[in-house]
Amino acid sequence: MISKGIPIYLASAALSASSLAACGGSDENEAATVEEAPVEEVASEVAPAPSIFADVSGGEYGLEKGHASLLWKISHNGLSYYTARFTSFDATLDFDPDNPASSSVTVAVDPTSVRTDHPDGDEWDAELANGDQFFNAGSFPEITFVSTGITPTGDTTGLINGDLTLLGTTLPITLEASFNGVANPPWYGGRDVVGFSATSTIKRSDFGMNALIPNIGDEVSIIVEAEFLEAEG
Amino acid sequence: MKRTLIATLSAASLVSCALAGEQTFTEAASGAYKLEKTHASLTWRISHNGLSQYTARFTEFDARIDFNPDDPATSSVTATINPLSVETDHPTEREKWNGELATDDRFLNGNEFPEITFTSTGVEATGEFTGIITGDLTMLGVTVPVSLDATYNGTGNAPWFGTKDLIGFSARGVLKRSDFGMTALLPNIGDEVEVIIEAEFLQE
Repeated sequence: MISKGIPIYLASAALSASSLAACGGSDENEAATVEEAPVEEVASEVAPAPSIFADVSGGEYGLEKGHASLLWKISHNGLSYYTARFTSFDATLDFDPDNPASSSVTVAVDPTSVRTDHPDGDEWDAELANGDQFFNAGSFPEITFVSTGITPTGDTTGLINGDLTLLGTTLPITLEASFNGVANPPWYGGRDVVGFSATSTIKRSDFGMNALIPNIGDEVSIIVEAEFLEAEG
Repeated sequence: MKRTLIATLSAASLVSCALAGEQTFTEAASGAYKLEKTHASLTWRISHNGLSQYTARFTEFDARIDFNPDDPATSSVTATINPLSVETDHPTEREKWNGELATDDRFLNGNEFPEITFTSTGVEATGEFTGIITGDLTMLGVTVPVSLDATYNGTGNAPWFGTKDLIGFSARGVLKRSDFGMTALLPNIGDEVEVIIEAEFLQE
């Protein structure tokens, strides 16, 4: 589908003079769209109309890994929120634009992809990934999330409930999620790209990861930014 | 001296609760502090076509604080960032994309401008442990005042740092990259850049 009034998508790795030129073209299209748009639609910038989903294809989407991040933060002695991330993860979205709350998502995270940017090198990442007091990836090579239900909290926001499996323990968690929009980058043909932001807080002790509590906090904040590409069909 | 507080915690240090920070000024020494680089992060986020907040970071930076616990608003901070240390975690072309962001003259142009600097010019207290840090940010050779919403998280002592105090902060700010002349790909790639800082400092 062709979306209107939404900035054209740009793949970061493909930035070039030609994509800049394409960007210029899109600006013209955008200007035309703005001229056609009734003035009262300006209000939709504040509270997006439900019809935003009318432009979105239903069905299966895969994670667009070039535009996805999975950060986590944890209190370090109460002095700072240690900030790290996983760099290798995948997700599948089954999106229902007619009833977004009936959509579903599954996620798989590779615990060995934990990255901390420790100034002395990779040793600390490996310890976090493989240490049996931490992610113990040798025994538990995958962290998974499977949604079980969505509760809308606004036109484009909702609570995603689901089962998180970490260290072999499966527990329900909740993500606060926002649907940010849809776009149609030309290099993906007619396939839609949809974007989301989500956050959650979990207790690692619930999953049996008790090491260094309370100096290293029990609560872990999770911050997700993710775009999804419509599956080829 | 040790890799990290976390990695070096032993059964003995677990027993001790001396590590736990306390949100108070009275226990913190005044004077010069330097960044404790194993517990410091500098994350930035920028809108990508309105679809997501592209999230990346600098991995090499340094900072110093002149801390006055008796009148925290008179404290000051300076920071330097290596633009070549930008890290995106791009899944397939990580080094290429990091390098393009770091060195391309449309982006951080790090070979011509090898340092991004921040020098505070004032602190306005907004609460007992919060304040707005204003200062001059120099990027791409352009100096523009910016402000950070900062929280003093507390002070603590780690056995391996002897009697030197640690102090910790969280800070967040928003700048417009166009103010510094970085206008490439606007507006598809947002003008506003959110900066998220977590940092501990060790008494000198």
